[in-house]
Amino acid sequence: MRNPVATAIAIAVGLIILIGYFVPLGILFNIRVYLLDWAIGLAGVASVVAIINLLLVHGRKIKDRREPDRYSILLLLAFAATFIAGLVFGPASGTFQNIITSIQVPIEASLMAVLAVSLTFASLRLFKRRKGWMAVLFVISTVVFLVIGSGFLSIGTQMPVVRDILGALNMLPIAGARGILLGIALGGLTTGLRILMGADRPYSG
Amino acid sequence: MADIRCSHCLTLNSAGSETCKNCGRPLLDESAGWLDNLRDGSDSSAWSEPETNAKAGDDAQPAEEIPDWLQRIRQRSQEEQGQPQPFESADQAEDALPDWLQNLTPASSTEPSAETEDTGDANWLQSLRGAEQPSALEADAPGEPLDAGTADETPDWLRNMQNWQEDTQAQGAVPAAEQPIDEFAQPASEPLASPQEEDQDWLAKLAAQTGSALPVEDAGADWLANLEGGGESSAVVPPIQPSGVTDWLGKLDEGDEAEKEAAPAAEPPFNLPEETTSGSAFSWESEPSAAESAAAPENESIDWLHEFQHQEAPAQEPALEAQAPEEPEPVNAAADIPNWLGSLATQEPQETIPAEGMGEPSGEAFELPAQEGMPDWLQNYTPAETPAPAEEPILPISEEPQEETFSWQSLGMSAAESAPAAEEATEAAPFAASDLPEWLGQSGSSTPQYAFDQDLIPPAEPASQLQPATPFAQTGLPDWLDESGLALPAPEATGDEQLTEGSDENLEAADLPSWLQSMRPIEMVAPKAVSAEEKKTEKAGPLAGLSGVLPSEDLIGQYIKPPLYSVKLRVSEKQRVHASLIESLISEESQPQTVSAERSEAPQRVLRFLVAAILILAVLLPMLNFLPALPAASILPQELIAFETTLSDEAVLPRGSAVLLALEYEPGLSGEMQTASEAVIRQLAENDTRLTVISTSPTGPILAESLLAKAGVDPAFVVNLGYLAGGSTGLQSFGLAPVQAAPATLQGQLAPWNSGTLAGVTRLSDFSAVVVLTDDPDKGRNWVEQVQPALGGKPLLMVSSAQAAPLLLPYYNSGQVQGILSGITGAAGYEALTQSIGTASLLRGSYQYGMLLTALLILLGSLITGIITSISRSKAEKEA
Repeated sequence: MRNPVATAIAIAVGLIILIGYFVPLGILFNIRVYLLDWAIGLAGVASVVAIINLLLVHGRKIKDRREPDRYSILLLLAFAATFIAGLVFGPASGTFQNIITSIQVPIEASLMAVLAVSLTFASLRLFKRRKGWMAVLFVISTVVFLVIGSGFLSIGTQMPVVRDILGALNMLPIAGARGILLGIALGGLTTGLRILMGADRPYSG
Repeated sequence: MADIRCSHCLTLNSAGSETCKNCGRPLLDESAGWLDNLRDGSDSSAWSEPETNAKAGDDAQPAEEIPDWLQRIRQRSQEEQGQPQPFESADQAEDALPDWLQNLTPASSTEPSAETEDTGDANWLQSLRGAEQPSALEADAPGEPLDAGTADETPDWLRNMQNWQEDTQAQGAVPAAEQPIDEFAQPASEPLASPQEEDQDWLAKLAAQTGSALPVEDAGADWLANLEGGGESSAVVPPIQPSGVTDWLGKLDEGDEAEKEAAPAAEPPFNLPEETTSGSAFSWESEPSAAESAAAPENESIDWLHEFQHQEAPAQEPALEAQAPEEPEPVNAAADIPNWLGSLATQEPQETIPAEGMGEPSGEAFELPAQEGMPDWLQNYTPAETPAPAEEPILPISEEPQEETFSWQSLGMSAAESAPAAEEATEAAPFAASDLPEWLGQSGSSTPQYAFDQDLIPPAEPASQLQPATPFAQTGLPDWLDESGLALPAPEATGDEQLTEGSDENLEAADLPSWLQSMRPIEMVAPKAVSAEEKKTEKAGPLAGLSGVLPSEDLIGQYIKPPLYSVKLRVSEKQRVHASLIESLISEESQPQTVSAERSEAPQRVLRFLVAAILILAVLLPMLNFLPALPAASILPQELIAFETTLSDEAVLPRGSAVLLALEYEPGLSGEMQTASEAVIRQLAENDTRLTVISTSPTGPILAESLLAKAGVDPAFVVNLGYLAGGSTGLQSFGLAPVQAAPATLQGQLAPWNSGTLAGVTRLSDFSAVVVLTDDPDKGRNWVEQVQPALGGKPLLMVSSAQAAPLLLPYYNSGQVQGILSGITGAAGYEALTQSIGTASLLRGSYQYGMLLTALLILLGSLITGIITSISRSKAEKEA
């Protein structure tokens, strides 16, 4: 144990927050609120640190003599412009908001569209390279849920068989999602217990 | 009671005194020695003193009990000499004594013999026995006097003899026949007048040198006893030449006569100095000393003893034997031989060597004492004796009284006879022709049992040199004496060479006892096996003729041609298959691979553009109303219905109520989310709902502004709390204390908590509903987990993308979320439910065609790929 003090602090804070969930005491409530406020402040500072780190990383890439990254210059320029626009106009300004909605939203939306096409094409390439039942299943599931998502089959909801089939097919992603959620819940619980017991020290303690 | 002579200073003390008046030493009881008893004829216990002081008279034998051996000796002597047995004229006690012992009797024939007739004989024999027994031998051993401490220890019996002699002289009862002996004894008493330790030493050494020749001593004692009483008779009796008595006896007779003349004083031979009597050597020494001391100086008074050991004593034996018939035995031999005599008889085989060595080393033995304080007469003795010619004529003792070498010359014998030469010894051996008792010969042969002092007495020399000293070596020796080795014939030659030659000639092959032969090494006896190699003789080469050389040719022939092993590798079929496989693989590696012709990019690009065009058309055509939209689903999801029900329920969401709107989606999905949530925001706005906007995403508040503006919401009813940092932690804090967690608005003003749009709202539970717009299931989960518990039962509604809806449905099923509106399809359904026309309904056709076209493209592409693959595989199979 390299830093027992940090470990002790982490365990103590975790226990206080956990007890505060189950024990409605005023002092515990206040302690929780203060600790959470500190956490929100630390998270904001962390965002600032992240922004600084982003600038430093791209600054090194620009300074790289062998392969200088020219796009990093654009990034830094966009950051500076946005930062300056925010400082000048404020985040609630319509002008500043147009910058976000006119630039960022189409870009990200385009990226999501490209992502959808890329994923479709990747699935087809995978089907072509890895021939097997899994590939076939993947393709079939993709096609089926595309069809279901399109609502094309809603036409046949009048028919009981189709309705039942559609109901069964719609339950498949819900079942899978619930399983994932259970896994996430168990993983979160285990991780919390390990941190409380000091087994895991993500803070490098 | 006789006077007691001190054993140390020899001073005569009165009877009854306990200490010596001269030296003050305590007088031992031994002073009343056996000789005193012999003289007085009193208690026989004195005889036992020499043997063991403890035994007083147990061994006393009656005078009449003459031992058998004495009888045999007597008879033999009578037969040989043809003389009448002394027993005829002697009394009954003398019957058992041999002739030579009978000659001893005159010394005590008159009074002493009468006194000791009963027990004296046995006692003195016992004393002799005591001197010869191992215990006595150890005490009086010749080697013992060598020690300074023990030199003074004169045996009791000698002291007794001395006392007895003195008493006899004092009484004047010495018979005339004893005068010769007295003459011998008289000079012997002179050394007594001046007793010296040196004399004692040399006598002790002499006794040791002579091997403590008990037989000689005993014999000497006997014949001295005979001389004591038969000295006179010796003059009467002629030399006993024909009867086996050698010339020396005749010379002895002559010497006796001369001694008689030279020594008027008649003293018993037992007056010899005690120092000279080392137990057994006394008798031999006393007589010659008595004879020689009459004319010789005091220091040389005992010279005769040295030769007497070797020559004289045996020479006197015949004389004594000759006197025996005439003189009564002073000692009445016992009829039964005592035990100690029997023990001596058993020692006969061991007596030969010491008896032989007894006389020879006399000359050497006398040289050693000269260096250690030997008396002058003894020192002069050796040179006088050694040059003595062997053939020197016999001279009477009286004529050469001053000579150092007494021996036989003093007794009338020639020096040659007295010399240690072998031939003289053999000739002079007086007892050689007489029948000596067995005990005498045995006792004389028992000398080897004594330990010699190597310093004073050199090791025994060859038997040839020792034999002359034995006076008993005569032809007429009895068997028992022959066996003892004393009567071994000496060679004629006097020199060492002659002796050696004679001894070599007479040497017989030694018979090793079986046990000794068995101990010999086997290698010495067993013939060594000769190997074939050793026998083999080299025939050729430089070593030709030599045997036992290392073999060369044979070794070469021993080598065998080594077997030939095949180098052919045995390979199984399996190994061959593997080998061929490896070989083929290696060969394939060396062959260049055929590069297939690269396909043209034109068809693929056409295909790609074709697919893109189809997709674009599929999306645009419905939007442009060139393609009719597919009919809406008649059955809507339950979560959507619940969502619409909740929002439409005025009980839950009354008009003008406060609703918290969480905008948790990213700009990339803003198109779907705005389309899905536009109908909801518009409905809320229609109900004059006060909206409070907050987001955990940095872009959320700005997207919220765009969303609200697009939905036509009045900004006066909207409070944008901006960005809530911390993720789930921020949501936890916001759920506990929204005022502290979001104190300001996006515009940088203080949040109007509990005022304005937020009037009456200080906690989350004060909001009528919370609507979360999210495209991320994790963010929707955080709201469910962190904020929903703080709502206080107020409805939590979610508008999600079609991608996140499946992951949020479980929370709807669990009741944590009261309604979910997902995607464009859900928004279209919601619009259908609310009977409004919105963007969702316009885009639903494009969305449906795009989804169907994508699915078709995937299916078409999969089919085409499958067909192409099967065709290529069939071609490959055909080609193969």
